Amino acid sequence: MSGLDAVIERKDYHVAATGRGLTVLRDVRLQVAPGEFVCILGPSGCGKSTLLQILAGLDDAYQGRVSFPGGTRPKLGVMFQTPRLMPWLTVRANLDLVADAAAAASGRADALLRDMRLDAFAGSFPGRLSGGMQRRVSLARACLNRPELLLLDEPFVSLDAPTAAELRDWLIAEWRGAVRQSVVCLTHDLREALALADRVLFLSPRPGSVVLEHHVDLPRPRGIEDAAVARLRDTLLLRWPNLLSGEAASPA
Amino acid sequence: MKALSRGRVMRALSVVILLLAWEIVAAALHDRILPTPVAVLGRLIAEAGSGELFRQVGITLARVAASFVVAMLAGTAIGIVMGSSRRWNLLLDAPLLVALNMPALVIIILVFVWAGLTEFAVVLAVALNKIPTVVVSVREGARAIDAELLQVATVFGLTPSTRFRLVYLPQLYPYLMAATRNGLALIWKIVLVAELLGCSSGVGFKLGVFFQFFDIASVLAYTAVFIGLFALLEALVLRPLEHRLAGWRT
Repeated sequence: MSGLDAVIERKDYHVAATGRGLTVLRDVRLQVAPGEFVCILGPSGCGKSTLLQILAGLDDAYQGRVSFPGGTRPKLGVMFQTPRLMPWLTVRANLDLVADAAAAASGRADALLRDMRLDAFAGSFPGRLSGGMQRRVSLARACLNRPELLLLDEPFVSLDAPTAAELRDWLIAEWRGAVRQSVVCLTHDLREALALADRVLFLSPRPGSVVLEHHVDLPRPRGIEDAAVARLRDTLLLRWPNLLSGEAASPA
Repeated sequence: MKALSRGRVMRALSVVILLLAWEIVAAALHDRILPTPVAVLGRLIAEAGSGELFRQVGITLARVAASFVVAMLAGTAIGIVMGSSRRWNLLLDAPLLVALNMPALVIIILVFVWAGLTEFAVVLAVALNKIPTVVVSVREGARAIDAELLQVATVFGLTPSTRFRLVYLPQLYPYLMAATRNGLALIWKIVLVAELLGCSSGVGFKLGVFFQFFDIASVLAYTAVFIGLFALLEALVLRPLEHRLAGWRT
Protein backbone atom coordinates (compact mmCIF):
# COMPACT_ATOMS: atom_id res chain seq x y z
CA MET A 1 0.00 0.00 0.00
CA SER A 2 1.47 3.29 -1.02
CA GLY A 3 0.62 6.60 -2.59
CA LEU A 4 1.09 10.07 -1.19
CA ASP A 5 -0.66 13.32 -0.49
CA ALA A 6 1.49 16.44 -0.70
CA VAL A 7 0.64 20.08 -0.29
CA ILE A 8 3.62 22.38 -0.80
CA GLU A 9 2.34 25.85 0.02
CA ARG A 10 5.71 27.45 -0.50
CA LYS A 11 9.32 26.44 -0.89
CA ASP A 12 11.94 29.15 -0.78
CA TYR A 13 15.57 28.83 -1.71
CA HIS A 14 18.14 31.03 -0.05
CA VAL A 15 20.56 32.59 -2.54
CA ALA A 16 23.84 33.10 -0.72
CA ALA A 17 25.20 35.62 -3.23
CA THR A 18 22.30 38.07 -2.86
CA GLY A 19 21.21 37.09 0.64
CA ARG A 20 17.63 36.95 -0.64
CA GLY A 21 15.07 34.19 -0.78
CA LEU A 22 13.83 32.80 -4.06
CA THR A 23 10.45 31.07 -4.20
CA VAL A 24 10.86 27.81 -6.07
CA LEU A 25 7.47 26.15 -5.56
CA ARG A 26 4.09 27.67 -4.69
CA ASP A 27 0.79 25.92 -4.04
CA VAL A 28 1.72 22.55 -5.44
CA ARG A 29 -0.88 19.95 -4.59
CA LEU A 30 0.00 16.41 -5.54
CA GLN A 31 -1.97 13.31 -4.73
CA VAL A 32 -0.79 9.95 -5.98
CA ALA A 33 -3.04 6.94 -5.53
CA PRO A 34 -1.60 3.54 -4.62
CA GLY A 35 -0.46 1.90 -7.82
CA GLU A 36 -0.66 5.09 -9.87
CA PHE A 37 2.01 6.25 -12.33
CA VAL A 38 2.28 10.04 -12.37
CA CYS A 39 4.57 12.06 -14.62
CA ILE A 40 5.46 15.67 -13.89
CA LEU A 41 6.46 17.97 -16.72
CA GLY A 42 7.74 21.48 -16.50
CA PRO A 43 10.24 23.87 -18.01
CA SER A 44 13.83 23.80 -16.83
CA GLY A 45 14.27 25.42 -13.40
CA CYS A 46 10.61 25.18 -12.43
CA GLY A 47 11.36 23.24 -9.25
CA LYS A 48 10.68 19.66 -10.41
CA SER A 49 13.82 18.25 -8.78
CA THR A 50 13.18 20.28 -5.63
CA LEU A 51 9.71 18.74 -5.45
CA LEU A 52 11.25 15.28 -5.77
CA GLN A 53 13.71 16.07 -2.96
CA ILE A 54 10.77 17.08 -0.75
CA LEU A 55 8.81 13.92 -1.60
CA ALA A 56 11.92 11.82 -0.83
CA GLY A 57 12.15 13.42 2.60
CA LEU A 58 15.51 15.05 1.81
CA ASP A 59 14.30 18.63 2.17
CA ASP A 60 12.04 19.65 5.01
CA ALA A 61 12.56 23.43 4.77
CA TYR A 62 9.20 24.19 3.13
CA GLN A 63 5.72 25.26 4.14
CA GLY A 64 3.19 22.50 3.71
CA ARG A 65 3.03 18.80 4.38
CA VAL A 66 3.69 15.45 2.76
CA SER A 67 1.73 12.52 4.15
CA PHE A 68 1.41 8.88 3.27
CA PRO A 69 -1.45 6.41 3.72
CA GLY A 70 -0.98 4.65 7.04
CA GLY A 71 1.06 7.55 8.33
CA THR A 72 4.45 5.98 7.81
CA ARG A 73 6.92 6.74 5.05
CA PRO A 74 6.77 3.94 2.45
CA LYS A 75 9.74 1.96 1.23
CA LEU A 76 11.42 4.36 -1.19
CA GLY A 77 13.33 3.91 -4.41
CA VAL A 78 14.89 7.06 -5.86
CA MET A 79 16.70 7.70 -9.10
CA PHE A 80 18.30 11.13 -8.94
CA GLN A 81 19.02 13.44 -11.84
CA THR A 82 22.69 12.41 -11.69
CA PRO A 83 23.54 8.72 -11.09
CA ARG A 84 25.05 9.30 -7.61
CA LEU A 85 26.84 5.94 -7.53
CA MET A 86 29.59 5.37 -4.98
CA PRO A 87 32.71 5.57 -7.19
CA TRP A 88 34.73 3.35 -4.80
CA LEU A 89 32.25 0.49 -5.01
CA THR A 90 31.80 -1.80 -8.00
CA VAL A 91 28.49 -1.78 -9.85
CA ARG A 92 27.42 -4.90 -8.00
CA ALA A 93 28.56 -3.52 -4.63
CA ASN A 94 26.58 -0.32 -5.30
CA LEU A 95 23.46 -2.46 -5.55
CA ASP A 96 24.42 -4.62 -2.56
CA LEU A 97 24.93 -1.45 -0.51
CA VAL A 98 21.22 -0.59 -0.58
CA ALA A 99 19.74 -4.10 -0.91
CA ASP A 100 17.26 -5.09 1.79
CA ALA A 101 17.09 -8.66 3.11
CA ALA A 102 14.52 -9.79 0.53
CA ALA A 103 16.47 -8.40 -2.42
CA ALA A 104 19.72 -9.88 -1.12
CA ALA A 105 18.15 -13.33 -0.59
CA SER A 106 16.47 -13.43 -4.00
CA GLY A 107 19.54 -12.49 -6.03
CA ARG A 108 17.56 -9.65 -7.55
CA ALA A 109 20.66 -7.54 -8.12
CA ASP A 110 21.95 -10.06 -10.67
CA ALA A 111 18.58 -10.22 -12.42
CA LEU A 112 18.38 -6.43 -12.65
CA LEU A 113 21.92 -6.16 -14.02
CA ARG A 114 20.96 -8.71 -16.69
CA ASP A 115 17.82 -6.70 -17.50
CA MET A 116 19.93 -3.56 -17.81
CA ARG A 117 22.48 -5.48 -19.93
CA LEU A 118 25.14 -4.65 -17.41
CA ASP A 119 25.91 -8.12 -16.07
CA ALA A 120 29.33 -8.03 -17.77
CA PHE A 121 30.12 -4.86 -15.83
CA ALA A 122 29.08 -6.07 -12.38
CA GLY A 123 32.70 -6.02 -11.20
CA SER A 124 33.55 -2.66 -12.77
CA PHE A 125 33.82 0.64 -10.96
CA PRO A 126 31.31 3.30 -12.07
CA GLY A 127 34.10 5.54 -13.36
CA ARG A 128 34.73 2.95 -16.09
CA LEU A 129 31.13 3.14 -17.30
CA SER A 130 29.57 5.59 -19.75
CA GLY A 131 27.05 8.14 -18.46
CA GLY A 132 24.18 6.12 -19.89
CA MET A 133 25.40 2.92 -18.25
CA GLN A 134 25.72 4.71 -14.91
CA ARG A 135 22.11 5.88 -15.24
CA ARG A 136 21.01 2.30 -15.85
CA VAL A 137 22.79 1.20 -12.67
CA SER A 138 21.05 4.03 -10.87
CA LEU A 139 17.66 2.87 -12.21
CA ALA A 140 18.43 -0.70 -11.14
CA ARG A 141 19.35 0.54 -7.67
CA ALA A 142 16.11 2.52 -7.40
CA CYS A 143 14.03 -0.55 -8.29
CA LEU A 144 16.12 -3.12 -6.38
CA ASN A 145 14.05 -3.37 -3.18
CA ARG A 146 10.68 -3.32 -4.99
CA PRO A 147 9.88 0.06 -3.43
CA GLU A 148 6.30 1.05 -2.63
CA LEU A 149 7.05 4.55 -3.89
CA LEU A 150 9.41 5.01 -6.81
CA LEU A 151 10.68 8.53 -7.50
CA LEU A 152 12.44 9.04 -10.85
CA ASP A 153 14.16 12.22 -12.00
CA GLU A 154 14.42 12.18 -15.80
CA PRO A 155 15.37 8.49 -15.88
CA PHE A 156 15.91 8.16 -19.64
CA VAL A 157 17.39 11.54 -20.42
CA SER A 158 20.88 10.66 -21.65
CA LEU A 159 20.18 7.26 -23.15
CA ASP A 160 20.16 6.44 -26.84
CA ALA A 161 16.67 6.05 -28.32
CA PRO A 162 16.56 2.21 -28.61
CA THR A 163 17.90 1.73 -25.05
CA ALA A 164 15.51 4.34 -23.68
CA ALA A 165 12.56 2.63 -25.42
CA GLU A 166 13.62 -0.75 -24.07
CA LEU A 167 13.98 0.59 -20.54
CA ARG A 168 10.64 2.38 -20.67
CA ASP A 169 9.00 -0.96 -21.52
CA TRP A 170 11.01 -2.58 -18.75
CA LEU A 171 9.93 0.04 -16.23
CA ILE A 172 6.26 -0.36 -17.11
CA ALA A 173 6.54 -4.16 -16.81
CA GLU A 174 8.27 -3.73 -13.46
CA TRP A 175 5.61 -1.32 -12.23
CA ARG A 176 2.72 -3.52 -13.35
CA GLY A 177 4.36 -6.56 -11.83
CA ALA A 178 4.71 -4.88 -8.45
CA VAL A 179 1.94 -4.81 -5.87
CA ARG A 180 0.39 -1.34 -6.18
CA GLN A 181 3.67 0.48 -6.54
CA SER A 182 3.26 4.24 -6.96
CA VAL A 183 5.59 6.05 -9.32
CA VAL A 184 6.37 9.76 -9.63
CA CYS A 185 8.49 10.42 -12.70
CA LEU A 186 9.91 13.76 -13.80
CA THR A 187 10.48 14.32 -17.47
CA HIS A 188 10.69 17.12 -20.01
CA ASP A 189 9.45 14.93 -22.85
CA LEU A 190 5.68 15.12 -23.34
CA ARG A 191 5.50 11.99 -25.51
CA GLU A 192 7.43 10.06 -22.88
CA ALA A 193 5.04 11.27 -20.18
CA LEU A 194 2.00 10.29 -22.26
CA ALA A 195 3.48 6.87 -23.01
CA LEU A 196 4.26 6.11 -19.37
CA ALA A 197 1.76 7.83 -17.11
CA ASP A 198 -1.77 7.38 -15.85
CA ARG A 199 -1.78 11.10 -15.16
CA VAL A 200 0.45 13.98 -16.23
CA LEU A 201 0.95 17.17 -14.21
CA PHE A 202 2.27 20.28 -15.92
CA LEU A 203 4.19 22.80 -13.82
CA SER A 204 4.53 26.52 -14.47
CA PRO A 205 7.92 28.28 -14.64
CA ARG A 206 9.41 29.24 -11.27
CA PRO A 207 7.79 29.42 -8.83
CA GLY A 208 6.42 26.07 -9.96
CA SER A 209 2.75 25.34 -9.48
CA VAL A 210 0.46 22.89 -11.24
CA VAL A 211 -1.13 24.58 -14.25
CA LEU A 212 -2.76 21.53 -15.80
CA GLU A 213 -3.52 17.96 -14.91
CA HIS A 214 -4.31 15.45 -17.63
CA HIS A 215 -5.51 11.86 -17.22
CA VAL A 216 -4.10 9.68 -19.96
CA ASP A 217 -6.82 7.31 -21.12
CA LEU A 218 -4.86 5.56 -23.83
CA PRO A 219 -4.82 1.77 -23.56
CA ARG A 220 -1.61 0.03 -22.52
CA PRO A 221 0.86 -1.09 -23.72
CA ARG A 222 1.88 2.22 -25.22
CA GLY A 223 5.10 3.29 -26.88
CA ILE A 224 6.59 6.72 -27.30
CA GLU A 225 6.36 6.33 -31.11
CA ASP A 226 2.71 5.19 -31.08
CA ALA A 227 0.37 7.18 -33.31
CA ALA A 228 -2.15 7.50 -30.47
CA VAL A 229 0.50 9.08 -28.24
CA ALA A 230 1.52 11.48 -31.02
CA ARG A 231 -2.14 12.41 -31.63
CA LEU A 232 -2.73 13.10 -27.96
CA ARG A 233 0.42 15.22 -27.79
CA ASP A 234 -0.70 17.23 -30.82
CA THR A 235 -4.18 17.68 -29.37
CA LEU A 236 -2.80 18.97 -26.10
CA LEU A 237 -0.36 21.35 -27.80
CA LEU A 238 -3.05 22.59 -30.16
CA ARG A 239 -5.23 23.47 -27.23
CA TRP A 240 -2.41 24.84 -25.05
CA PRO A 241 0.39 25.89 -27.42
CA ASN A 242 2.68 27.03 -24.61
CA LEU A 243 2.09 24.00 -22.39
CA LEU A 244 5.73 22.89 -22.52
CA SER A 245 6.78 26.34 -21.32
CA GLY A 246 4.47 25.91 -18.37
CA GLU A 247 1.53 28.00 -19.60
CA ALA A 248 -1.93 26.47 -19.88
CA ALA A 249 -3.85 29.45 -21.20
CA SER A 250 -5.96 28.61 -24.25
CA PRO A 251 -5.47 30.75 -27.37
CA ALA A 252 -8.13 33.38 -27.73
CA MET B 1 57.84 -3.19 -17.23
CA LYS B 2 61.15 -2.11 -18.73
CA ALA B 3 60.69 1.41 -17.34
CA LEU B 4 59.86 -0.08 -13.93
CA SER B 5 63.05 -2.15 -13.73
CA ARG B 6 65.09 0.79 -14.96
CA GLY B 7 63.60 2.84 -12.14
CA ARG B 8 64.62 0.22 -9.61
CA VAL B 9 68.17 0.12 -10.96
CA MET B 10 68.40 3.91 -10.71
CA ARG B 11 67.18 3.86 -7.11
CA ALA B 12 69.65 1.13 -6.14
CA LEU B 13 72.41 3.00 -7.93
CA SER B 14 71.72 6.20 -5.97
CA VAL B 15 72.03 4.27 -2.67
CA VAL B 16 75.30 2.66 -3.79
CA ILE B 17 76.71 6.06 -4.84
CA LEU B 18 75.71 7.57 -1.49
CA LEU B 19 77.39 4.72 0.44
CA LEU B 20 80.53 4.95 -1.71
CA ALA B 21 80.79 8.73 -1.20
CA TRP B 22 80.33 8.24 2.54
CA GLU B 23 83.02 5.51 2.60
CA ILE B 24 85.50 7.70 0.68
CA VAL B 25 84.93 10.82 2.80
CA ALA B 26 85.03 8.85 6.07
CA ALA B 27 88.19 7.02 5.05
CA ALA B 28 89.85 10.32 4.08
CA LEU B 29 88.87 12.03 7.34
CA HIS B 30 89.80 9.04 9.44
CA ASP B 31 88.06 10.55 12.47
CA ARG B 32 85.59 8.98 14.95
CA ILE B 33 83.07 11.79 14.27
CA LEU B 34 82.36 10.15 10.90
CA PRO B 35 82.76 6.36 10.98
CA THR B 36 82.75 4.43 7.70
CA PRO B 37 79.65 2.47 6.57
CA VAL B 38 81.56 -0.73 7.29
CA ALA B 39 82.20 0.39 10.88
CA VAL B 40 78.51 1.27 11.28
CA LEU B 41 77.55 -2.13 9.93
CA GLY B 42 79.92 -3.72 12.45
CA ARG B 43 78.20 -1.88 15.35
CA LEU B 44 74.81 -2.86 13.98
CA ILE B 45 75.77 -6.55 13.93
CA ALA B 46 77.23 -6.33 17.44
CA GLU B 47 74.11 -4.62 18.84
CA ALA B 48 71.84 -7.09 17.07
CA GLY B 49 73.92 -10.01 18.28
CA SER B 50 73.55 -8.98 21.90
CA GLY B 51 69.77 -8.59 21.48
CA GLU B 52 69.95 -4.99 22.69
CA LEU B 53 69.05 -3.55 19.28
CA PHE B 54 65.84 -5.58 19.00
CA ARG B 55 64.84 -4.82 22.58
CA GLN B 56 65.27 -1.05 22.26
CA VAL B 57 63.80 -0.83 18.75
CA GLY B 58 60.84 -2.93 19.95
CA ILE B 59 60.17 -0.56 22.86
CA THR B 60 60.35 2.50 20.61
CA LEU B 61 58.14 0.93 17.95
CA ALA B 62 55.51 0.12 20.58
CA ARG B 63 55.50 3.77 21.65
CA VAL B 64 55.31 4.90 18.00
CA ALA B 65 52.37 2.56 17.39
CA ALA B 66 50.47 3.64 20.51
CA SER B 67 51.02 7.35 19.82
CA PHE B 68 50.04 6.90 16.18
CA VAL B 69 46.77 5.12 17.01
CA VAL B 70 45.82 7.69 19.67
CA ALA B 71 46.71 10.63 17.38
CA MET B 72 44.84 9.23 14.37
CA LEU B 73 41.70 8.34 16.32
CA ALA B 74 41.52 11.62 18.22
CA GLY B 75 42.58 13.73 15.21
CA THR B 76 40.09 12.03 12.91
CA ALA B 77 37.21 12.47 15.36
CA ILE B 78 38.01 16.15 15.99
CA GLY B 79 38.63 16.76 12.26
CA ILE B 80 35.25 15.28 11.31
CA VAL B 81 33.47 17.37 13.96
CA MET B 82 35.23 20.57 12.84
CA GLY B 83 34.74 19.87 9.14
CA SER B 84 31.05 19.08 9.56
CA SER B 85 29.98 21.81 11.95
CA ARG B 86 30.60 25.51 11.48
CA ARG B 87 29.97 26.15 15.17
CA TRP B 88 32.50 23.56 16.36
CA ASN B 89 35.00 24.80 13.81
CA LEU B 90 34.75 28.35 15.16
CA LEU B 91 35.00 27.08 18.71
CA LEU B 92 38.06 24.89 18.14
CA ASP B 93 39.91 26.87 15.49
CA ALA B 94 41.92 29.06 17.88
CA PRO B 95 43.05 26.13 20.11
CA LEU B 96 44.00 24.27 16.91
CA LEU B 97 46.14 27.18 15.74
CA VAL B 98 47.89 27.30 19.12
CA ALA B 99 48.49 23.54 19.07
CA LEU B 100 49.83 23.65 15.51
CA ASN B 101 52.37 26.30 16.40
CA MET B 102 53.43 24.90 19.77
CA PRO B 103 57.01 23.56 19.51
CA ALA B 104 57.17 19.78 19.95
CA LEU B 105 59.77 20.15 22.66
CA VAL B 106 57.54 22.46 24.71
CA ILE B 107 54.64 19.99 24.58
CA ILE B 108 56.94 17.16 25.65
CA ILE B 109 58.38 19.16 28.56
CA LEU B 110 54.95 20.29 29.75
CA VAL B 111 53.45 16.80 29.59
CA PHE B 112 56.43 15.32 31.47
CA VAL B 113 56.09 18.01 34.13
CA TRP B 114 52.34 17.59 34.48
CA ALA B 115 51.98 13.82 34.00
CA GLY B 116 55.36 12.54 35.22
CA LEU B 117 57.96 10.46 33.44
CA THR B 118 55.61 7.59 32.59
CA GLU B 119 54.78 5.56 29.49
CA PHE B 120 51.39 7.27 29.43
CA ALA B 121 53.12 10.67 29.37
CA VAL B 122 55.37 9.66 26.45
CA VAL B 123 52.43 8.46 24.35
CA LEU B 124 50.36 11.51 25.29
CA ALA B 125 53.15 13.97 24.54
CA VAL B 126 53.83 12.46 21.13
CA ALA B 127 50.13 12.12 20.25
CA LEU B 128 49.48 15.75 21.24
CA ASN B 129 52.17 16.80 18.81
CA LYS B 130 50.58 14.90 15.97
CA ILE B 131 46.85 15.43 16.60
CA PRO B 132 46.69 19.00 15.18
CA THR B 133 48.09 18.01 11.79
CA VAL B 134 45.66 15.06 11.57
CA VAL B 135 42.81 17.44 12.45
CA VAL B 136 43.78 19.87 9.68
CA SER B 137 43.94 17.11 7.07
CA VAL B 138 40.71 15.35 8.10
CA ARG B 139 38.85 18.66 8.46
CA GLU B 140 39.60 19.36 4.79
CA GLY B 141 38.28 15.91 3.94
CA ALA B 142 35.11 16.38 5.98
CA ARG B 143 34.47 19.71 4.24
CA ALA B 144 34.76 18.01 0.87
CA ILE B 145 32.23 15.27 1.68
CA ASP B 146 29.70 14.89 -1.13
CA ALA B 147 26.30 15.60 0.45
CA GLU B 148 24.54 14.09 -2.56
CA LEU B 149 26.04 10.68 -1.81
CA LEU B 150 24.90 10.97 1.80
CA GLN B 151 21.39 11.63 0.47
CA VAL B 152 21.55 8.28 -1.31
CA ALA B 153 22.31 6.65 2.05
CA THR B 154 19.32 8.47 3.56
CA VAL B 155 16.70 7.58 0.97
CA PHE B 156 17.71 3.93 0.92
CA GLY B 157 17.61 3.77 4.73
CA LEU B 158 21.22 2.69 5.33
CA THR B 159 22.14 2.07 8.96
CA PRO B 160 24.43 4.70 10.55
CA SER B 161 27.26 2.16 10.65
CA THR B 162 26.97 1.23 6.94
CA ARG B 163 26.58 4.88 6.02
CA PHE B 164 29.78 5.75 7.88
CA ARG B 165 31.86 2.78 6.65
CA LEU B 166 30.80 2.62 3.01
CA VAL B 167 29.64 6.13 2.12
CA TYR B 168 31.35 8.62 4.44
CA LEU B 169 34.73 7.10 5.30
CA PRO B 170 35.82 6.23 1.73
CA GLN B 171 35.59 9.95 0.91
CA LEU B 172 38.07 10.61 3.73
CA TYR B 173 40.59 7.94 2.69
CA PRO B 174 42.89 10.22 0.66
CA TYR B 175 43.07 12.64 3.58
CA LEU B 176 43.59 9.82 6.10
CA MET B 177 46.35 8.32 3.96
CA ALA B 178 48.11 11.69 3.77
CA ALA B 179 47.79 12.07 7.55
CA THR B 180 49.12 8.53 8.06
CA ARG B 181 52.19 9.08 5.88
CA ASN B 182 53.10 12.42 7.42
CA GLY B 183 52.15 11.07 10.83
CA LEU B 184 54.48 8.11 10.86
CA ALA B 185 57.42 10.19 9.66
CA LEU B 186 56.76 12.83 12.31
CA ILE B 187 55.87 10.53 15.19
CA TRP B 188 58.99 8.39 15.21
CA LYS B 189 61.14 11.49 15.24
CA ILE B 190 59.20 12.98 18.17
CA VAL B 191 59.22 9.68 20.07
CA LEU B 192 63.03 9.72 19.97
CA VAL B 193 63.11 13.25 21.42
CA ALA B 194 60.68 12.24 24.19
CA GLU B 195 62.78 9.17 24.97
CA LEU B 196 65.94 11.24 25.03
CA LEU B 197 64.38 13.65 27.50
CA GLY B 198 62.45 11.44 29.85
CA CYS B 199 62.91 7.69 29.37
CA SER B 200 65.36 5.05 30.50
CA SER B 201 64.69 2.79 27.54
CA GLY B 202 64.11 2.97 23.80
CA VAL B 203 66.17 4.12 20.86
CA GLY B 204 66.06 7.79 21.91
CA PHE B 205 67.48 6.91 25.32
CA LYS B 206 70.20 4.79 23.71
CA LEU B 207 71.11 7.61 21.32
CA GLY B 208 71.56 9.90 24.33
CA VAL B 209 73.95 7.41 25.92
CA PHE B 210 75.90 6.98 22.68
CA PHE B 211 76.12 10.76 22.38
CA GLN B 212 77.64 11.02 25.86
CA PHE B 213 80.27 8.43 24.89
CA PHE B 214 80.74 10.03 21.49
CA ASP B 215 79.86 6.69 19.89
CA ILE B 216 78.78 7.99 16.48
CA ALA B 217 78.96 4.53 14.86
CA SER B 218 76.21 3.28 17.20
CA VAL B 219 74.13 6.44 16.65
CA LEU B 220 74.24 5.84 12.90
CA ALA B 221 73.61 2.10 13.32
CA TYR B 222 70.33 2.70 15.21
CA THR B 223 69.35 5.45 12.77
CA ALA B 224 69.90 3.12 9.82
CA VAL B 225 67.67 0.48 11.41
CA PHE B 226 64.86 2.99 11.84
CA ILE B 227 65.11 4.36 8.33
CA GLY B 228 65.11 0.79 7.00
CA LEU B 229 62.09 -0.17 9.08
CA PHE B 230 60.00 2.77 7.91
CA ALA B 231 61.01 2.22 4.29
CA LEU B 232 59.77 -1.36 4.69
CA LEU B 233 56.54 -0.14 6.28
CA GLU B 234 55.99 2.17 3.32
CA ALA B 235 56.64 -0.59 0.78
CA LEU B 236 54.87 -3.48 2.52
CA VAL B 237 51.94 -1.76 4.26
CA LEU B 238 51.23 1.81 3.15
CA ARG B 239 51.60 1.43 -0.62
CA PRO B 240 49.52 -1.79 -0.84
CA LEU B 241 46.93 -0.22 1.48
CA GLU B 242 46.74 2.90 -0.65
CA HIS B 243 46.47 0.80 -3.78
CA ARG B 244 43.58 -1.14 -2.22
CA LEU B 245 41.72 1.95 -1.04
CA ALA B 246 42.25 4.03 -4.16
CA GLY B 247 42.22 1.22 -6.74
CA TRP B 248 38.95 2.53 -8.19
CA ARG B 249 40.69 5.72 -9.33
CA THR B 250 43.05 3.89 -11.71
